[in-house]
Amino acid sequence: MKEISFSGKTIMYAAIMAVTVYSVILGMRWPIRAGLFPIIVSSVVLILASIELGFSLFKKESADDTDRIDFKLSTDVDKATANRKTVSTLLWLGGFLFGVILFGLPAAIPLFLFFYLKFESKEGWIFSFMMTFVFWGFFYFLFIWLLKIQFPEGALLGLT
Amino acid sequence: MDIFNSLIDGLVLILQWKSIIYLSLGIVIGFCTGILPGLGGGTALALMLPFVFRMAPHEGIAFLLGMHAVLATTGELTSILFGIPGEPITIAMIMDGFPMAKKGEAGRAMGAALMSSLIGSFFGAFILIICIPIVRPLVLALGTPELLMVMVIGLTCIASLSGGKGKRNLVVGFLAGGIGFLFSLVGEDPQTGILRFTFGSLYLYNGIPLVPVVLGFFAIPELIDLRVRGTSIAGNIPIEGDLSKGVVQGLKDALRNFWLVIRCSTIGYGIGILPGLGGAVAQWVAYAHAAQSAKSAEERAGFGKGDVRGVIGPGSASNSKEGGGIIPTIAFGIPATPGMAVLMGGLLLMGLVPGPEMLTENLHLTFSMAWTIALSNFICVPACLLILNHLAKITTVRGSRILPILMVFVFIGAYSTNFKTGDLIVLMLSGLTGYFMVRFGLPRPPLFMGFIIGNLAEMYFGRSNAIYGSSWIYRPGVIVFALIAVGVALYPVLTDRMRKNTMGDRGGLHERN
Repeated sequence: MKEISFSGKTIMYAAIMAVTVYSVILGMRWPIRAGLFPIIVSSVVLILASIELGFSLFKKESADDTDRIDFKLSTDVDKATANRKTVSTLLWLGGFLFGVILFGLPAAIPLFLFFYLKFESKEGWIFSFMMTFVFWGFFYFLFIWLLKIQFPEGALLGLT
Repeated sequence: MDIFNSLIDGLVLILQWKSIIYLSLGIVIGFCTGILPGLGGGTALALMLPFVFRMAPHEGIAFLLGMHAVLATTGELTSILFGIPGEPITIAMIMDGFPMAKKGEAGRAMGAALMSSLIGSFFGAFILIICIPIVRPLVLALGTPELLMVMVIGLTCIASLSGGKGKRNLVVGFLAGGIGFLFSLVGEDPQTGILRFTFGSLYLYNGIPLVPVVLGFFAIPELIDLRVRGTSIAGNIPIEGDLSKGVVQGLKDALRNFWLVIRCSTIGYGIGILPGLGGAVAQWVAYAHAAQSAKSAEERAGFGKGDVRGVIGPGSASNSKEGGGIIPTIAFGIPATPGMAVLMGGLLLMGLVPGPEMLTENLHLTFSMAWTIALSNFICVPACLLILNHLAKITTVRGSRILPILMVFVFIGAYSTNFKTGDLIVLMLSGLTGYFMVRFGLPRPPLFMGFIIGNLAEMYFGRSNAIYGSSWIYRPGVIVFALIAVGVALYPVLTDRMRKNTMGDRGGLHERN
């Protein structure tokens, strides 16, 4: 048995347990027909998450225990660089989301593409501009001209 | 003899020049829709519905079904190349297809996917033709308790396999599946109308939408990893000149694993018949079967890291399920998938009413559907093979150039569901959750499986209780399916133990000798 150790995994299982306890409490407030299934599922998930939490706290993991049939993150990049790039990617995605809220999707796409290519990918001005223009032309042709999809206006553009 | 005549009549209808033109048009639209992550197949079908008003029924069938039949085939190519599902039903293809692309084997993966899809579509069409007269009593024999147990088997397959080969695999797999179930419970309860887990948000009244969840869970972690690696999708592996060889190798792989193709096609067809389960379930169960067929635990451990059988299994099921899906749609008016629901709308627009008439007076039209599925893939697959080299070269484009475009496609795909900001928030939250799941080793496939079958499972659970009380548990069909589920869950553990025992015996013999 290993010493008690806390990791990101421990926090994840604890969070899952907290959510399932909350959903059991919510389920008990609903009529039985609406609450039965959520209570059953939440209880099962709670038990399984408790088991995994116990394993992550007290048991040393073998290679087999962590070998899942799923996508795996790259391990050949040092941790600090990987974390920095992960945060920066999430910030870019968050910025794009913010752009869609403010300007609407059709306007946010060229802004995001150009800024990403120029400042994150460090491409030249001409390449960034051309790439943005070509992709936005494709988007406009397919979604707006051909399929006649009316994207909602952004919060800023809606004010004008 | 009547059936044989209808079969020939159906073929003749599809081979008329106008039908061929509409079929080709449908294939082109289906190809573009399938390959773009931003456009869902159901949406494209719905957008094309107004055009079938003036078409004869067989022409409309060629147009709509031709489009529908190739969606999964081309959607698989996007899943392999970018790790982003072209269609929500082609996610299982990412599991081994994308790792193959990262190893510089995109051509091989696509070749295997296309060949298995082609065989699967032929198989689905062939079985559709054979099954039409006999399938009706079989489908009607399954009550809601049995359908619930079929879902349990599907979830068990995924949970027991994607959890890995360790002893804790079942716990982790079922844990992820249970979380997926919980996600599916958000929104209005269909039985009582009570709002559950909506927290006062109007957006969540109809539940969490599927497409942003799919794209978030499966695309965003891959995009983050591509940024972290800082290379092209294929890494720094030079694949120039090897692609055509890879494609041929992929085609041969599919033929070499012919029985796997047939077994997974059968799985796809069987799940396709069952209303509501859909293509994603078919692909995942086929994937699980392909992994389970591995002869040893070491071989099984290769799945998820770029095993070609992980491409062949889902590829076979994705198209054979189309043949299965037609049966409940036309015979009972119960669309098997959302795509089939739109297709049924098209049939109604053309004056065709689903029901017994489609199996008697209009049997030739039903057979023309089977021919359309086979013919559309027969045309689409060689067309895809012609451009595979160019498609596979995309995996060698510098990541920093392709990444923003993929991000935009993911956003368009998520936003196109409802055009609500909530879709993008769900996308981001799912992406974050998916990323942490990958980072901390909680498998995503069971979660997704739980999410897509959760609503139906609850409905069948509620109906079973309402109709049979608690006695539904003792129905023979339920007991048989439950035993199958237990067998499926224990199969990897038992085979591993038997293999270890066998190796131990051999080791002992060697020592004695």
